[in-house]
Amino acid sequence: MGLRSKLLAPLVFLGVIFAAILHLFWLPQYVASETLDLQNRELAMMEVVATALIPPLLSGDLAQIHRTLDQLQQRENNWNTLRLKAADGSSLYPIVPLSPTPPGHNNEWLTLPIDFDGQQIGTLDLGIDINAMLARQLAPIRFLELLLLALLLGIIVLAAALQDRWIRRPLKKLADATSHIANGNYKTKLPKASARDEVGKLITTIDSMRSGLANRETSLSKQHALVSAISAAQSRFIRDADVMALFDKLLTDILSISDSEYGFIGEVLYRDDTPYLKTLSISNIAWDAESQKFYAEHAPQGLEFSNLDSLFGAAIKNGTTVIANDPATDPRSNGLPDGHPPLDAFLGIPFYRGDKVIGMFGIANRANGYDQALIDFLAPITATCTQIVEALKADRQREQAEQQLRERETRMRTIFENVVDGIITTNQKGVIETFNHAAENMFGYAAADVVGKNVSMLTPMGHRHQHDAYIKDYLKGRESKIMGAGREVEGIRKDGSAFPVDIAITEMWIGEDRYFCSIMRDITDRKKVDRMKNEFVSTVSHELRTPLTSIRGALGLVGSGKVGELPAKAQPLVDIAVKNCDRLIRLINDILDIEKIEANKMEFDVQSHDLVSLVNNAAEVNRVYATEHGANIVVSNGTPDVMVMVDEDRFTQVMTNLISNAAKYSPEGGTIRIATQSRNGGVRVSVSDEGPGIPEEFHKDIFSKFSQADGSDTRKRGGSGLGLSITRAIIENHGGQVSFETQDGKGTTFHVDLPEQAQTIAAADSKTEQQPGPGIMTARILVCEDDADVAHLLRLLLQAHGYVIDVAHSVGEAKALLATHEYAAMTLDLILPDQSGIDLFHDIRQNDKTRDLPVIVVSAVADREARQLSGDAIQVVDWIGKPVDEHRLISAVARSTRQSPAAPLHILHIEDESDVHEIVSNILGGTYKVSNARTLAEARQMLAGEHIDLVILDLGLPDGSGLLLLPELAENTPDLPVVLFSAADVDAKTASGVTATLVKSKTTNDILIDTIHKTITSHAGLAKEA
Amino acid sequence: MKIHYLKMLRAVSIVLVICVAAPVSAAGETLRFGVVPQFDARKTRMVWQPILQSLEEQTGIKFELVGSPGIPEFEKQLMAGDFDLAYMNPYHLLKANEAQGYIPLVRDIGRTLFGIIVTRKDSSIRTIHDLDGKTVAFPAPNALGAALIPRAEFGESYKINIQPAYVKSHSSVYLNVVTGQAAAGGGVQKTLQSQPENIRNALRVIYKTPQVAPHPVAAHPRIGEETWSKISKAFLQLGDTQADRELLARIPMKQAGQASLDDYEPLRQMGLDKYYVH
Repeated sequence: MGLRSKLLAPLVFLGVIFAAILHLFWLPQYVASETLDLQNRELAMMEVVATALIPPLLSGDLAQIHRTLDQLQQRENNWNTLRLKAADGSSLYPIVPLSPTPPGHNNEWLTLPIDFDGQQIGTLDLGIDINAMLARQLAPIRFLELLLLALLLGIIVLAAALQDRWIRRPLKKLADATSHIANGNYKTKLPKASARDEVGKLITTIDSMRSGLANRETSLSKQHALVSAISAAQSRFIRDADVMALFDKLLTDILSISDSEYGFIGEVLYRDDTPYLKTLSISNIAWDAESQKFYAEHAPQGLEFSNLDSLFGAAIKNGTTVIANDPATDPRSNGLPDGHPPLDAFLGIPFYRGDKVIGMFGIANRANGYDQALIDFLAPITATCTQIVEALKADRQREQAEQQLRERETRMRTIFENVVDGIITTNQKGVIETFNHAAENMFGYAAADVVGKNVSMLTPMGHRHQHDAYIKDYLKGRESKIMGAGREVEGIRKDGSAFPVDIAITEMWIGEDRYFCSIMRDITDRKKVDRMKNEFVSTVSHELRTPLTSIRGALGLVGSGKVGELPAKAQPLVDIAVKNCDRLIRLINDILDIEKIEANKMEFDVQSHDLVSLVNNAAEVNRVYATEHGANIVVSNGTPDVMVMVDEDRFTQVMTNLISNAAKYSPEGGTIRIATQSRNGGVRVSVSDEGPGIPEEFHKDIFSKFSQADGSDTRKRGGSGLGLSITRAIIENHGGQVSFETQDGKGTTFHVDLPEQAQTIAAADSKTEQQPGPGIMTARILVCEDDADVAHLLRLLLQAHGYVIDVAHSVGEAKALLATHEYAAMTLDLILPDQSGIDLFHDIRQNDKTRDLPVIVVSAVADREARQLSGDAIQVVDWIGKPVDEHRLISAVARSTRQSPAAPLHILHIEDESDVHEIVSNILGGTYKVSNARTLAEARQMLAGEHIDLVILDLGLPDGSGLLLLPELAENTPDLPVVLFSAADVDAKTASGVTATLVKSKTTNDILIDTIHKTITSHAGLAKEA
Repeated sequence: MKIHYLKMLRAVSIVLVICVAAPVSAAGETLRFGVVPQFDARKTRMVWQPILQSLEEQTGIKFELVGSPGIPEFEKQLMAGDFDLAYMNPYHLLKANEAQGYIPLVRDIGRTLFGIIVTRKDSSIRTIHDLDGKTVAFPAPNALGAALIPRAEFGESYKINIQPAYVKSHSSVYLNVVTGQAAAGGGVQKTLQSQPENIRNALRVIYKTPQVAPHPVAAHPRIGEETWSKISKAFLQLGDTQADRELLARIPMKQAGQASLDDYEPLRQMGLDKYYVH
């Protein structure tokens, strides 16, 4: 809809509305009201007439009526028809037949009844042409209407004309002009803005907008040029290697954008810390043939300018932008060479990296000179130049670095490929990443065959999942079973053959990824050597130990007086033999231990133990030895309730070693102090002596094999010289450390540091010790001892063997306890506070209940009293002097408690060496019935035929290893306890299949008895329980 | 009018004559000329003033034209002898003669007076007898030709009863008949002829009454014979000149002639008194 229509529409609209209202509402109403008025008027008139007519009507004077009505009708133009009717309806006026109705029609009949005295005497009818009448009334109205209409039309036309002139035409012109402007034609003519109204304002505004647009366009195109230049430079840089062409283009763009004549872009390089400019691009302003030649030859590589005493030099030297719009008079300028084109204005802008100038560009001869506005405008391109120059430098550096890296890599690779050991790297999941040459040779695979596959393909089936499990465990943070050095695994070659591999795995991090690097060595040969060595060792151990067992056993028996009294002269000789035998045994054991340690074959049964009890036990065990050397042991407990994870036996071995060393070097009457303390998250056990100390020159060799401080002392001191090295090895295998402190002449202290709950690296599956719990052994022993320490000691000793102990500190207590409890045996100290132990003894024997109670006298005055009591037919199981010989005590108790069962227990000793058997049966015969089987077959026979309570099994039998019997025994007689008694150390696995293991020559007689007894009674207890 | 009344009237009139005559006897006094108000006062004046003027000229007697508001007033004045001279209808003459002794001087001898009975042309009424019990319109009860005579006729001669409607004017009568308000109407030929054509054409005359001498100019005896003769003569001379004839024609008097009481005898015979409404 055009503007005209828009502007006029309201007018027209209103006009129409007005006309409509006028014509359709007002007029009809007017007409109606006029009609009504008319009617009323006529009626009023008629009433008057009617009233006038009443007399003549009444008198019948029709002439009068006629005269009157004729007059009226004549006078009243509107009264078309006038009729008077009589009361009966007959027409009085006009005369019937009616006079002809005048032209025009009556469209309105007014009827007025003429009443007189309440009676209608006639009717006056008037016919009028209302329309005609109205028409006359309305004529002026209609005229007015038409006039208004005409007026409205006139207004519309006028309005339209004026709008056209004042609004539409200028606007149209403006619209045309602005469309020109929109198309970019800024020169288009605008209509004159003469009026001060909105249209005029619009024209003025558009005019200024036009000029603004024109200006902006110009500046935009300049900016566009700038941006294009930048992006062209950048993309070029990314695309091409032709740096020079890039800079040439960049320079050209800069010159055109800045309306400059010539210029350069250059890099600032350093020679001996002095900067110089090397151009990357420079305008060719060569002014003669010579300079042309110079330019052509040198410009592509870049011209170097070291002399910085110039306008551009100022930019480099000072690091500031240089504007010189009057170079001739500028102090920084150093003149121009002859023939150089004129320099009217100069702008130099340096590029920075941090605070170092890395380059610049210089441009010259802009009309009207250079200003800050241009510098600001050029800022983006300046930045681009900076970036590109920087990038250039960086690229250069990178190339150098890459070169170096490549060289290094080649070197490393050569090493890698040429080592003797196989090196395999895998990722976290075990997928092989690298496989060096040696590995290829070792496994028979080419690297390409294995890279990308899982490393488990190199291990045999059975070990594969183990390996994966180890890795998984390790990854989960559990103890590394395979990390670190010296694990032995089996590898599978491509041809399927297996071979032993010594493997050391380390983890390494490359970035954020974890990899494993395994270094492997084919140890087939070493294994062979090891095997040979082991065979030798086992042979030696067997060959040496067996006879030694016999010798020792026999000597022991003879020396202990169990097989009869020795002549007085014989006793010391036998003692000598026994001692030396022991020494030999110890030596052999040490050697074998060392061997084991060196082969990493020492196995540890690591359990959690209370440190202090261990220490105390060790102290006790060695107390006698210490006493023999004139030293006493003092234990100080600095770590109550501290647990350590150690192999009990080995720990005791360590303690024994340290204590015996301390004892050996203690002076007469000296004190050996054993202390425990918590330290650095672990524990420290210290053993101190008051000996001469360790000389300085010996310090470094102290833990070496076969080393002793004083060679001359060796025989006097005894010992094999292997103790400390074994100690150290054991402790180190427990994850601990051994160290010492010594002061010449004052004493030496050895420290054993263990982590609390120390973890050993080579822990095998732990062997569950069959500890008979208190519930199984019901043997109750009464200890009657007034000395608290001794009582405590006795209690510990006996409890360790599974007995239930009650302690009485006096005769009275003892009697009370005896009355209320059943005891299998009792120990009796003769010196008691309230009564003599002998008296108690008599009382016990007189009491029916306790008449047969086995009594073991444990007293300091054992011998003397023994004589006193010897006359009585008393049963004293044994006399044990203080300090208490533990084993003797235990044996006694065991013997005494064993006497309850009716028949002596039957032991089958499967052993082919008759000498050994002789010893064993001598040792055990007093208490048990001992049978012998020399072969497996014999053993089987006997097992089948007789009731056996316990089997002592040797491994080295003529018809097979004793181990072969184990499964049979497990199947046929699962409850039959088996004690292995062999020359060889038994590995954990085998040991787990039997109730107990004893090693010949390592086992003293007492230990033998003890073990047997324990085993039997525990099983007897079980049997009893069952 | 009853006869006893006439007697009384005679007596009174004598007295009145004396009373009146005395002044009249005095020489050069104005004579009171009364005119029966057939027309309105203005017209009456218009008609009679020139005539009296002329008479004045002729006789040298001054006349005073005395109007009467209406016929009843005229009759009263007349009976009272108020007028020295008067133009009256024949019946009035009789009565006035009886009452005051008025003597008719001149009358129109060119015509006679009679009444007509008209009906609508389409009326079923043909004879007077048909009018029995019907409504008949008359101008006024005492209008001599139009009403009095016909009414006397109806009653005396035809012995019918009619419902008279006194509609004030002759025109009314005709209109009443034409509009059917009256079965018939009484009027005079003259007035009928002067009706508009459509009315005239719508009517039919069904009866003419016996004729009677028309209106005389009568003099009260008190003026004396000499006077009345003079006047009479003058009057008659009026008929000589054309101009005066025209004047007289307006009375209307076509031809002035001597009037005598005997002319009106037949009227007396009609027994109109009975039908005269006072």
